[in-house]
Amino acid sequence: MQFNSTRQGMAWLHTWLGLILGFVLMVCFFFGALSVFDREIDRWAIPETRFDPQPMPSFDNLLMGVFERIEPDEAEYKRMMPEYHDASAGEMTPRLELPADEYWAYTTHRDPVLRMGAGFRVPFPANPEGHNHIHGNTTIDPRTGLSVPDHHLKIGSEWFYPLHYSLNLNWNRIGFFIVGIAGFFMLVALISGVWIHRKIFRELFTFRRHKSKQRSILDMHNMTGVVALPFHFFFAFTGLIIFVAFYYMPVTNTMLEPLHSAQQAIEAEEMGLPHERAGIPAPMASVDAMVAEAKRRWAARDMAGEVGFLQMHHVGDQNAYVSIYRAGSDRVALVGEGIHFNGVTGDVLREDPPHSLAESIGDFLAGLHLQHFEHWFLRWLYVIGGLLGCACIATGFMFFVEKRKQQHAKAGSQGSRIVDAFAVTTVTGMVIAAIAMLIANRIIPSATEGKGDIEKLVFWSVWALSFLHAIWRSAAVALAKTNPAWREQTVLIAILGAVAVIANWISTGDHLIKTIFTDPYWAVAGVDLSLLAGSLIALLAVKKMTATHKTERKQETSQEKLATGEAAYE
Amino acid sequence: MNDAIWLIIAFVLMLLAMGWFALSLKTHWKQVMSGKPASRLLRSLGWICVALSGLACLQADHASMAVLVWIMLSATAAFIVGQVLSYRPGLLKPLALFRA
Amino acid sequence: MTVIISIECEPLSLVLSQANRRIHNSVVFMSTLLSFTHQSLGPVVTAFLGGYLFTWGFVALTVTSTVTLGWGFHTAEHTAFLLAFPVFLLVFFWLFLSRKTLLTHAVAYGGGVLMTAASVWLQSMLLAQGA
Repeated sequence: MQFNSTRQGMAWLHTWLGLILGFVLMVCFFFGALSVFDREIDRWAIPETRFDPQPMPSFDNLLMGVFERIEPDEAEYKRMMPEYHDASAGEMTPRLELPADEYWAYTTHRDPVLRMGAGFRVPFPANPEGHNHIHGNTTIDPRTGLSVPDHHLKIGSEWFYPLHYSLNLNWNRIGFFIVGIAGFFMLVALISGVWIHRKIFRELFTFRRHKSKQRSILDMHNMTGVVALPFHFFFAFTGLIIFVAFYYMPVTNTMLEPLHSAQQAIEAEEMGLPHERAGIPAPMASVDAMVAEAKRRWAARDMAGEVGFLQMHHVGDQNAYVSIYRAGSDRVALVGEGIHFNGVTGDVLREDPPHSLAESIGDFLAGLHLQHFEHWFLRWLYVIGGLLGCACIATGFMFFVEKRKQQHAKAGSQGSRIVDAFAVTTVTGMVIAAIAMLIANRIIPSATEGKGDIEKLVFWSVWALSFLHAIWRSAAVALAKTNPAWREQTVLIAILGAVAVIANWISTGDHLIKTIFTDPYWAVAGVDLSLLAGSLIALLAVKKMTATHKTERKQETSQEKLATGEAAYE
Repeated sequence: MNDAIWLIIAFVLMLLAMGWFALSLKTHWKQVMSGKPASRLLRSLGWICVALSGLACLQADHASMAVLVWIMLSATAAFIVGQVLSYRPGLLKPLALFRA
Repeated sequence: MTVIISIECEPLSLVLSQANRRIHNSVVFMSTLLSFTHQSLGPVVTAFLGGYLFTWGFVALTVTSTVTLGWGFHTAEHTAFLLAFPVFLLVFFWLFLSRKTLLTHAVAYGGGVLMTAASVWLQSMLLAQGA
């Protein structure tokens, strides 16, 4: 395209791509900010799991028994078994008689419950080279080893969290790609934004809220964008980096796959970990002793820590081995410092070598985004960063509308009216949908069949309703006024935030006095307090909007008076 | 607990730094005081505080973590100072030490 | 008298003018939308695809050439993907903002295809050596 200057081209990119993809980015930033506390939202939404995080329990005394009780998933058996099994070689093994080949358990410093799973071998496989595993998962209370209900939707880690990188649109992973494109254009918008905003430092602290609406909105847009610029940049960038090799640009998993697998085979050989079962049954050594040894070796490297991930391969075979990984805690890079043990003798087979420079940078960047570390203060700073991002995008929409609505009203264009309705939906509508989902979670009885699906339905339909409401009330924008939906939906946020906190109190008996003072449980108290803070901010915003509305009305009536006066004179 | 104290110190230092950065700009100095700011001096003070804040972060955490805390603190502090200048600029008066 | 007539006639004229205005509005809106898609989004899309293709080739060639030089595969892969987005961004801005559109696009698309072809060739060499 021909622009008169680079600056003009940059301004075009910033305005239009920021507008189009801003709606997606708003979702990424808001639900990304909520994901910082996904495990805590899980606790709020599943009261049965409101107890303190536990370290990995004893394998020999507790986990082994649980693993042996895990059954292969029925649906997966039905779906995958015919594909994996070679009917000409032998009879199909019934589901409950499948032999286990692999066990794993995973926890973090924020998880009270422990997630575990088993992979079951398929005898007479059609493709002996393939993975051929039928899986079965469970979630337990690590204090007792008893299963906790696993059918409840973990709203934090299984809804808000995937929403921020996949929009929960799983058809052909379309959501991943939309978010990927939005992430790329986020970087474009940041670079072009810096380019066109000449007074980066001189106006860093400038917020002229008494000047015109357009001026103060632009000030806020610049301030929230610039003060958190490193955050915005690195979260868009690292988000892209996390998925690039798998989804966005799968060079090494498609075109270069032959080289990749050849190299991997060489690496696996160097690692010396048995790739296949020996076919000779053997008893397993004590895994607890291996865990103790792994912890001793971590401590010797000056990075003492707990076990985060534990995996046993080739269960019950002479080639069995156990891989033990460290939980993320005191540093950013997501490494694991894996130590691998012979499952039969208990000897150390291998320690993962330190990563190369490029890999370490990658570990740091991924760790920075995935935040497995233990640092509550930094988590909150991340939430602030995410909300600053939301404020930046939201004020971007508002500025777009403010700048054009007079002109559009005169020309009879509906452009700013439509943009504004979308903005209402993605700013206030999104918050309403999220809170409505939490309220539904507390109102629907725990035993209800398909509770999670109803919650999802509530989420989408409330969001759709907020869009219809925004459209219905949008006529004002075409007359260069403010859409009343902004104020009405903000009022709704203020009410719903408080309702959610009360619903939690009534349904579980956990009120703030209990969760803060008498029986502290910060995961739930934190969610409650955040909801109330949201309500409060919404109230302040309503107050401000009402004041603006009044002055607008005053100006209108005086103009009308003037107009009628002139008419009378004529 | 020690870590928490270091983090608070880091945060306060970052607020001071951002306050001085803001006051080194003529427009913001005028919101607080008459005359002109000694811009260079205030800005140097700001940079010193940014550096000290980084050291305080290093006292609390592993280096890789400290960098993130430090950057996020700068964002938060800058935003707070910006809001203070808009709503209660008088709060920054004690920092307006050096006039040109 | 004129007042009464004007009041009686107003509804019809109002309806007509409103309908007219509506048609006018939607025409204005649709034509802006069309010209926007045609004139502006087009260059964005070609710059994006050109950047993507170039980066694809760049990543593939970086991986294969560094592996040829003896790097481990995962180190090569990480290095290439760390550089991928800076390269993508540079090429995107270059294509979008350039005045000699044809030339720059030819360089980016051609470069992407050439690098991809070179990496596929290098891969077959490497695999032949390994076998």
